[in-house]
Amino acid sequence: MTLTVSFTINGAPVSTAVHPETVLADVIRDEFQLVGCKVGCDQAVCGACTVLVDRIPMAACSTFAFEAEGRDIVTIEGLARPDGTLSAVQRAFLDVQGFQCGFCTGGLILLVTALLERDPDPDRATITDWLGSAVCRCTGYLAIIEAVETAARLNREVAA
Amino acid sequence: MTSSEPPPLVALRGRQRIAPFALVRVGDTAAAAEAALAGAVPMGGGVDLVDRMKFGERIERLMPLSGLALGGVEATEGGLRIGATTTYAALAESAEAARLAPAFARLVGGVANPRIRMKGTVGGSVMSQKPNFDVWPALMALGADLVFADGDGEARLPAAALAPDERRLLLAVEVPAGADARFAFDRSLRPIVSVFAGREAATGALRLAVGCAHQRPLLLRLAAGETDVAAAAAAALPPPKSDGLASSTYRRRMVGVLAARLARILPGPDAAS
Amino acid sequence: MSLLLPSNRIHPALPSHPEPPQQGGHAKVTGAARYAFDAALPGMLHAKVLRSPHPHARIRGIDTAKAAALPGVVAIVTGADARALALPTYGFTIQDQPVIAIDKVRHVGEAVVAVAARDERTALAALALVDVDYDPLPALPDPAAALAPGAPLLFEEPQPGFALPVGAGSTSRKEPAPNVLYEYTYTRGGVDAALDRADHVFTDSFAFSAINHYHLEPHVNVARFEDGRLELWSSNQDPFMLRADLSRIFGMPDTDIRVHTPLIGGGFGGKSYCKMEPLVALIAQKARRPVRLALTLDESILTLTKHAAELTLTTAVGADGRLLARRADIVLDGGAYCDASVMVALKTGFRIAGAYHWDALDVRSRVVRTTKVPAGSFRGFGGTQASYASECQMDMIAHRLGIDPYDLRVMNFLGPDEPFAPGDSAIDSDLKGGLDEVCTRLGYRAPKKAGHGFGLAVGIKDGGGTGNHAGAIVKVSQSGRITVLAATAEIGQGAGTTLCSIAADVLGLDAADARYGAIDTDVTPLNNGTHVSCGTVVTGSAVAEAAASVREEILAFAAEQLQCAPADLALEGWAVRRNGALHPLEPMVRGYYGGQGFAFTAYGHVKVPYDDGAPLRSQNLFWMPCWTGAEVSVDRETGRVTVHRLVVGSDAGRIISRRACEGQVAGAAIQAYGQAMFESLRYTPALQPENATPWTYRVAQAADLPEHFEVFVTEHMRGPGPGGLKGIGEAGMLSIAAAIGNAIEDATGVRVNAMPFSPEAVLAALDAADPA
Repeated sequence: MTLTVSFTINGAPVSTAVHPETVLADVIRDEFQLVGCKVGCDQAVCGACTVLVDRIPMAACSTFAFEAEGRDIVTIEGLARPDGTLSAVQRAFLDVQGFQCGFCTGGLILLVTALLERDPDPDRATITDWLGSAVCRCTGYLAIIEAVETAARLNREVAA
Repeated sequence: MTSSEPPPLVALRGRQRIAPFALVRVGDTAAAAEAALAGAVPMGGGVDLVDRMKFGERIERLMPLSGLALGGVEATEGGLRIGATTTYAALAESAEAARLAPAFARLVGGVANPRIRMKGTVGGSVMSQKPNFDVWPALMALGADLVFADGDGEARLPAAALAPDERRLLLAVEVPAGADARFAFDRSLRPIVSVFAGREAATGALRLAVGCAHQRPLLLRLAAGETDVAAAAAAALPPPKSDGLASSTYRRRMVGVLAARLARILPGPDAAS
Repeated sequence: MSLLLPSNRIHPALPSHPEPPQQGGHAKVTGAARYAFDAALPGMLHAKVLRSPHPHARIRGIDTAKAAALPGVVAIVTGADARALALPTYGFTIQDQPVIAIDKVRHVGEAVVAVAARDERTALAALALVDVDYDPLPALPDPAAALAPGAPLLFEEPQPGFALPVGAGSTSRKEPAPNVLYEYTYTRGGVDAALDRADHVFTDSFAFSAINHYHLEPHVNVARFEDGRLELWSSNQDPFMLRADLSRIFGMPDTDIRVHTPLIGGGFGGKSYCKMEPLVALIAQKARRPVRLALTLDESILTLTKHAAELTLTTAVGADGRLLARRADIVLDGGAYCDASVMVALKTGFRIAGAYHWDALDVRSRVVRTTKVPAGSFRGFGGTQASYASECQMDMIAHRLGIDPYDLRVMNFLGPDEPFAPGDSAIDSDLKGGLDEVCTRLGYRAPKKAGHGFGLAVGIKDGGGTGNHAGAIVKVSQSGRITVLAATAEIGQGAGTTLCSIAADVLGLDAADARYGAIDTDVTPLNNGTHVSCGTVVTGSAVAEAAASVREEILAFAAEQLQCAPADLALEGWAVRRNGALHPLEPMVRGYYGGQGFAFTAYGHVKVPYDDGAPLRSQNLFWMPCWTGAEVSVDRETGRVTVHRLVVGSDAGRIISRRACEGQVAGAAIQAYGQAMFESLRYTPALQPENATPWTYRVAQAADLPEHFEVFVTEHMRGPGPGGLKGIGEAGMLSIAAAIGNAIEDATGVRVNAMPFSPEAVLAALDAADPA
């Protein structure tokens, strides 16, 4: 049994045939070749597969493709402007080296993007709560926390 | 190990293990209630369900609830009614919850992580009956009711009376008025044990719901005026599990310690009324 | 080639290095970074592996008929296929681990049957149709059981391999006793005499727990056999070691094997040494199609752990607190197979001396086989086990003698320039200086809050490897852009950034224009692997040598063009200066070589010489300290420990990228912190892994961090790498657990000597101290 699912991905409207049991991560990776969406734990713990669905961060490994119907999906590939200009969150992660191996980084950047949309100036407790949506085994989180704070500052500077 | 029951595929958990299923689409709550009784498995956020399916659990017919009008938080005569598909995040951010059940809202706003809280639903959390999930034991301690679809109407059940094989569609949970003012919890020893406590307004009895320590969360009730809450709670507790995290003995003792701490901070029956 | 030796000098301080541009950083923040996980080939099949549900069993038979009949299944591999290989086993110096189980399984999770099919779903369905007939055998849950007289044997026969050669004072024995995989000893001075005449002798035992690496990219490989060659895209961090293993296993010339190492999504030792790569190759050979095998994280958890260990230290101390002699009996739980256990045993034994001066040492370090997940390399192998036991005992001794733990350490530290052991290199950090920095940051001398305790610990390990060597190629194009080729894998440590920066520094060119080339064993110069924090110093020295040669080549070319002597020229950006006049190089190169341009290319190679006079048969290249301070409080009713502050420092020798260095220390420290507080791979009494799923295997998340956590990296300028560089990747793990354990004792008066410091373990210790 297959069904057709229609949604937008990084701004482009698409339709694709999926099985009910197909998860979003496989569609994003295999169908649309957006392999910046990494599958780490495959249990919605590590957050490497995080994508934005209607601006909400979701674990694509644990979200069925049919749940995407009619929704707007953004992957890490869709965050920079078409001319290549990085988003403030991407810029901040790059500037402060908020990554090491990089496997969790795309998901983290999308997560932080969602955080700063909701709370442009998060305190430390809010940041660590949100980072609880992800695991980074490399950094010990210090650089990631700094990246979040830097991104918030960059956003404010752009707004000012 | 008998040959008729092959061993599980060791460590082969994952999205490719999710068995094919039929998607059951329903247009309204009544149809959903009927389909649930007929064996369709409701899916709220799918947090627990998808996880179980990745271990190989077969679901023949899966019924997403996302299109139904089952969300929302509203004040009722009896207290606070929380629709089953209300996400943790929506509940935590709800003005009604902040007004009528601030402690419960704070709990729900702090479990797991924001990504889960924006997907997971109150109903899904309760119906999963997972030992480590917090909403159901919290509702037990609050003396809340579960509201199920029942024929053309609704059936109410005290949260603690939820049966393991309940198949009716959960519509909402209802937190009684005033209960939240006499509710507290201690999750500091998770995932070893967590304790949720509520004081009954009428009797002053202590409701203690215990998470993480058994196959399912469970509820104890200590009569008002119990002077040694720690000893009484530990004594009343069915044998907790033993595993590599902690022994049964330790879990039992900690239920007592945490219960006594909560009892000290909970207002008495008079203070809350 | 030049010999790479420990440094015996202090390098002049250099101006502060600006943060170098991150190699690959832009790709990582835009989703363009490609890992082995993303490798795909046309016609590629997907493999899945059926794993043993038993900790120990004989395989009576495997029926794959039903699986083979499933549409979409292309190949099925079992031990029968492995037996036909030139060498069906692997392991570092002791090859006891079968490519896939042959006749027996020895741990839950061991690979028994592999299926390649058109997709993973089909492969999984096929595995569910496989019938394996097991005859369960008695399990060996721990070293004590395995060492008991009459214990069942994990192996009936000696396994292929040899005892790793060692140096002065050391012995090395392969399989010296039933169920003992390996034994290392080290002896100097007369320990018995020292124990007899010492004022104090203390014997204490410590238990160290097993943890998993939990790299977010699980082990993944794509293999293809084509035209007689085996080609592999692998998440393995040791491309050339892997090539050598595959060569032995398949009986193929190593030059017919080609390993590609894309970016690696975390490893921490879990992706070093051979793992399931030969199995993937075997499946591809049988299927005659490219095959991808991506493990689940659950499977990775059942692939390798850090060694659990029991360490018993008998330490003789003078009345004044001088350490005199130590006897150490170290028993490492190796799990079912060797993997890198030999190195871990040897390093634990070597490192148990800690950062202190001794008159006499008598060390025995054994690896015992058990029916658990094999143990192997994990970030600083052996160093964490040794530092934990040694640094806990330091505090226990201090308390017993009424000496401040700080004073006891400082009084016994090896000074700068003092050899770690006779015949070995000298300490190249200021150990006291680093500890003082911790004390200052922690406020060690300030009054403590009520109920709080402070703990200090100083770990140390050797770094750079034993007799290691590395090659590197540096190319400079006609436009002055650098390409560096070296086999140190980019695993998150910033290898490419560091190595490009070293080359750019030598050449005076812009590091932003340098590129770290992809690793391909057909092209990339050989090195020993991405190990023991050797990338910066060993590979970095080869890069510096190559860059210096390229520089000479460039100057010689320019001298010829300008008809002068190379000595008359100075390279200045992408131009040469002669008598004040600047001559751009690009037109000069194009003028001579034509429009396609040219690449000046040179090879550099360094080797750490063997030295039988040193305990590990080569003088250690550099020393990696870990200075740690912790402040904790303990809930006396629950035993729950709260770490309020954690301060961790190390010495990079010289810093190229401060952010990268601090990131290494912070990351390692939090791995160790998780292990100290809650993380471990646990087993049920029936030896089933209890928490081998990503969710139940809890690792530290951001909310778990200590309330205050800071790291610092010093530049003691004494390292052997270019300009005084040292490696730093493993250091931050060493002494975290000991510092927290010591702080718990300071806060409560009780010692918890098993990890993790779970609430129940702490409460049990409190109960024992106060039975009321």
